[in-house]
Amino acid sequence: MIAPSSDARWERLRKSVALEPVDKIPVCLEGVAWCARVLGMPIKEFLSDPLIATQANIDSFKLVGNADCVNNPSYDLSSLPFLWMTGVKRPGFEVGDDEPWQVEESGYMTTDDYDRILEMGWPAFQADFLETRVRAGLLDEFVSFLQKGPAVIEKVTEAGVPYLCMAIVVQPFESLCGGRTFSQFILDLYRMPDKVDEVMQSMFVGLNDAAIAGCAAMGAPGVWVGGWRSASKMLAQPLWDRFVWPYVKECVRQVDEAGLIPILHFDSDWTRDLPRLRELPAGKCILSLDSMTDIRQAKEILGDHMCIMGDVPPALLSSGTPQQVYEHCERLVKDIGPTGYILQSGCDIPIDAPLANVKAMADAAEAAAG
Amino acid sequence: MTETLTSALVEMREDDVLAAVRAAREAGAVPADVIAALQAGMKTIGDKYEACEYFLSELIMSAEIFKNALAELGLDQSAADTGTRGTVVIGTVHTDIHDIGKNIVASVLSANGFRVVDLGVDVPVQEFVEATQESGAQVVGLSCLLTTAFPAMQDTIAAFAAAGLRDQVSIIIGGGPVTSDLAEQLGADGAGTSAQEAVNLAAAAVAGGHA
Repeated sequence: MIAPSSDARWERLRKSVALEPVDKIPVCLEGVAWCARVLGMPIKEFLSDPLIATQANIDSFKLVGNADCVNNPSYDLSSLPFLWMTGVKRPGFEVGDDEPWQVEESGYMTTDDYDRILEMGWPAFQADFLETRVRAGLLDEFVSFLQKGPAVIEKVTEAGVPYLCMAIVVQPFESLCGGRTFSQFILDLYRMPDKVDEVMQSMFVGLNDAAIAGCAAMGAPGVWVGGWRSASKMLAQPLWDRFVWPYVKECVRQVDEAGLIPILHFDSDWTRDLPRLRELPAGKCILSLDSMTDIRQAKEILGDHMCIMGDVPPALLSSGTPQQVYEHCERLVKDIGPTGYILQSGCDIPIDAPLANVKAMADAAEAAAG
Repeated sequence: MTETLTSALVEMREDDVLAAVRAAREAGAVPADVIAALQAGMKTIGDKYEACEYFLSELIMSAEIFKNALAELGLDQSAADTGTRGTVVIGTVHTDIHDIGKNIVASVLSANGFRVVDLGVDVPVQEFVEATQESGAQVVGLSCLLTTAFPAMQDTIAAFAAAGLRDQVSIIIGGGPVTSDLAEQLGADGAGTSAQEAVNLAAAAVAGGHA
């Protein structure tokens, strides 16, 4: 949650989540690798230490000048294998020092692993799987990242940069789908639905307890409830109803119960199921869209129920002109505001987005405030 | 046989499809008739996708059933994708290794009667040109997930112009960050935002004169 504050930027964020009037639509920077690139820092260096990533977030935030917050104040690649049960090609290792990382789509998991998960329990299976089949050393790297969480918060707080999130809670669909690859996992859902269901229910018990408790203890405002390949457009309604929605709903309940903001980081197209999101607690969540979901429909259906964030298209930020970005953001502010809206890129700011384009996004919100 | 087979495919009843194909084979049915019944099912599935009654999962599952049904007939994919609707060269462009979307599009194109030449991921520019020359493809599909791969897309399109082939092929781009504005900007002929849209664009391209 966000406490009332004398800092106008925190207040804008708090009021936006609560659907209250604001003096200006807040602007959030989800910079990630862009933070490094815009500062001329090699991506390998950005990823070498979570505190270096935090400093890059702070410096790039100041470079833009008139944004209100960053989304995640740090970053570490080891979190991706834990999320998606697959490998990542890393700058300085499998790709060049200043190239973007790429998630492998290799299908490390087999259908036999479903029984192994049930036999071993998810935590033991996950640890063994990542160490022996994805890459040795991942566990240590991830623990090291987690241990730096309080220092990350201290650093970003000292720098006076508001932020939204410190962790991701996981729904089983995303982990299993990442491990199997999307196509294979879809076939599993048709061919062995009861087995997958049993595995999901088993692994979900306590799955996110540590992440939620850790964020609450650190005083972080929110937690991502991530949805990528579990989007509505990807799945037949009966599959989504059975394998996605109950888990998303429960993740949100757990995060909200801990006093944290559930940030629904929903990539791809969720338009079909927007009405279902009204089942989530009112005035508590942020729905973060990546430009694939119809954000105007989201406003119409959910505008009085939850804050909407997004969704300047990555291609526009990467390849458009500042004027095009500005005009697009003007329309977003007009259509999705004036309350319950945070202007942000659709998912991450692309690594190759010119600074002028990101500034244009922030300028559009400022100009609209008059 | 035809209606049973078609409806079983449309309803994703894999076991029933395979049993019907087996029965048809044992009864001496002509393989082309079985394939036609399956492709009628794929057409209905595509229509349902367009109508937002079906979603990506049905496209994937039906393409898989289709493939297994051909195997049940003792045939491979080439029996269905003999180029009756045209040939498509597809790949993820240089510098990008993501292939889930590309693989789905290739599979759905194939199940809808296109011959597909899949070049894989991180495909060098010239490989697209050479594969197109060798296969006589009318359509080229360029995929990416990273915005940093846009220049590679543009280079690939330029290579077709340099080879004097640009007017002979339709180039369709696809992938997470791709938009129709980007297609215009890069000089592509269209952008596909779903596997079914890729089928429609490829069909339109073949019908529109690049055949």
